[in-house]
Amino acid sequence: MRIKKTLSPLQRREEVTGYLFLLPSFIGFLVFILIPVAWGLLLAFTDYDGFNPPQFVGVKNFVALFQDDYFYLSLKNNIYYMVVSVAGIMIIGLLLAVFLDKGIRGSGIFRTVLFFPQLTSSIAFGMIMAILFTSRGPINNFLRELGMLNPPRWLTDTQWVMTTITLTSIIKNTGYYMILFLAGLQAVPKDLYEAAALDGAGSWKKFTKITWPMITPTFFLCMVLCIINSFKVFDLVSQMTNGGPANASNVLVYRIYTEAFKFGKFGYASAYGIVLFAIVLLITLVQFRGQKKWVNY
Amino acid sequence: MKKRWLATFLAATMACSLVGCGAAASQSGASTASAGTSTAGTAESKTSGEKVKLLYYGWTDEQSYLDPLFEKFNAQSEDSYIEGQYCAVDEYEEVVTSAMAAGTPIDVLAINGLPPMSNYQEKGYLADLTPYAEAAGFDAAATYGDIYTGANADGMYGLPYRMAVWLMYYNKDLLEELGIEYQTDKSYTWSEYKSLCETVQAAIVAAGKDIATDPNNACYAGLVGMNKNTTIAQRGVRLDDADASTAVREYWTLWNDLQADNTHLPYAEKLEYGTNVGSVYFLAGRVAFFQNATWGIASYNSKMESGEMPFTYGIMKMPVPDGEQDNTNLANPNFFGVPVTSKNPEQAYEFIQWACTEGGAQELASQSVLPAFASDAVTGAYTTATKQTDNVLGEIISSANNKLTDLCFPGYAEVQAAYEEQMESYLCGNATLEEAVSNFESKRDSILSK
Repeated sequence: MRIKKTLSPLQRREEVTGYLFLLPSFIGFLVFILIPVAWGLLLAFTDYDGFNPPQFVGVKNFVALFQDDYFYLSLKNNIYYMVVSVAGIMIIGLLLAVFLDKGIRGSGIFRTVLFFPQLTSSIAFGMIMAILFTSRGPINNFLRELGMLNPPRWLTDTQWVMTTITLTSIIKNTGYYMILFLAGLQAVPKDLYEAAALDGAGSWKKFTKITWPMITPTFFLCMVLCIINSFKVFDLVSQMTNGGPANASNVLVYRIYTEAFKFGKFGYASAYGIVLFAIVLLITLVQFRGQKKWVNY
Repeated sequence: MKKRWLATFLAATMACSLVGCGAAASQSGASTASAGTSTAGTAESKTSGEKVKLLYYGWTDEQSYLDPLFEKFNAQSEDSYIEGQYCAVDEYEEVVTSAMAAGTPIDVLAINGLPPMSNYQEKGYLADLTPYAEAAGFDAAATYGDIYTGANADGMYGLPYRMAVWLMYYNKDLLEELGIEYQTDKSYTWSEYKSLCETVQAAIVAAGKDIATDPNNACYAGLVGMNKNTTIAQRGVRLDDADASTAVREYWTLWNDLQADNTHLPYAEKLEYGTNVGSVYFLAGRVAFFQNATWGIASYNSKMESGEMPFTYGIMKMPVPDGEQDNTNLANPNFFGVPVTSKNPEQAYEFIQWACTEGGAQELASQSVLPAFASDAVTGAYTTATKQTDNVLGEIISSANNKLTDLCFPGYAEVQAAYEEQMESYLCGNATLEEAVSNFESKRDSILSK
């Protein structure tokens, strides 16, 4: 039997107060997120060109999208970017965090330096990295000094360009996740390590049997965030390559921008947005289902 | 109770501020171009006396000569005055798209060449100005010829105010230093130009100015400034023509030959430098030849005077494809149009007609900007302002053989994007010529079939 909860006048007032405090944020969410998302969902079924009244076209945009080579090219690039950047950021971020958690001398400086790219705007960071990666830029000059006669054309070779953007993303974002891992590591009770040391456990044993199980919730959270962010990549692509050469670095969000603002196909771009949302949702759901097997709460 | 009132007050304040933000955003919808600057008007409020305020949208590259144009118009007009909103040229198309989607009441819209002119008409952005022109007794077709009729299919959607004619700049000092002879009285063919560049490059290597000797300060014989469709346009071919592939193949082959023989900056590096490539190479005196348009003249003159450009430049006609007539250069007009969102189309038309005929053209010409309107007085003012020591520029801009840079059609923007994608792929060495041409054909056909 369900018991109806009765509130005292004081509790009711506090509840109203709580809702009132939430109200401004909720209005912002409604106006700037929920309504645009719902509008975007509707637009996906229209031929809206950004100016003329939209006409309902049913699922035509979705049919066209699944026949569009650019969609598969962008999706392939996004998946490559996701796999490599998430793996790179997670592994390097965790290793750096474990290293800095040892409390070695100068770890504060290291932490600041490694976090620093995160404080820089993506546009400025992308611009600087693009200069470093030019054919006659410092990176290739260094490689030539090492004896490499034909260093990669990082930004203009279709075989290399996604790797360049992915590397840039790893450099930019690793520091942020390192800090999250560090927070997770510092929450592991030290007495567990002391007990393990008394039992004769070495560093590797301590990591695999104590550290890793204890930080899996943090690792899971970071992985979910990092994967979602990887599908939202736009700024680095826009700044470093404009999706080129020959669309070799086009990703889904950049394609949405191109379809909407270059070609004025807002309805079609909205269909891209819906499909992107479905892909991210699917991946996140799979992760949440899979977490039960390896995350320890 | 106090807490409740406090919460109510805070909620109301924040909600109001949100509404305020929305209002501010919609008011400054016009200011989507706000990254740029707003200038040129003398009035401070919506109206200046009895005058109607006209809102202008354009890009910052033109601000230096359009602001004086606006001032001149504002001083002489009794009905209206105009104020400019400018943004970066790279962002301009997106800004216009956003502003039109928001219904921003732009009165005068600058249109950056033939592709956007076609695109805006296709989307229904522009008002048909025919009734105003008829009322004023203005015959635009007779005034401007092909540059007007080629861009206004079924009505009057814009008048050309400025022309950009593509030509070949050269570094006089470098060519003299290398002992190279060249011609300016008639066009080279592209084959002759290629041979000339090979001679120049050999002299550059002999002088120790080559890339192997000094990668960061070396010279190239040439730098292709215009990378889209030079010889295709010179042949008068449209990208949707059935036999366009022949012209496409010819141009891409030429471009590739110019980089393959090391006479030109490789296309891949040009991509890396983007629009700054002229500054990096030509202004620094590191190339002998550079394709660019007439808009460079004012800038180069000023940079030469200030010493920023450490050499003397000259102008020659654009090389032509085999079989095409001498002095076939490429012209691209910019237009003023009146968006359908304008609240003052009549006054906007008055401004446009003034700016695109004698009064406005003289003002532009006096600032070394080539107007689309031609008369003896305007041409005289332009010739004087550009300070040329010979008549080559005059021959180029007045050539009857000149052709338009873009021959547009519905879906042009997407076809052009597919074209550039495949050209990049080929010139960066990621596809063979046949693969790239074949991919372009199939993408173009797919776009046009929609």
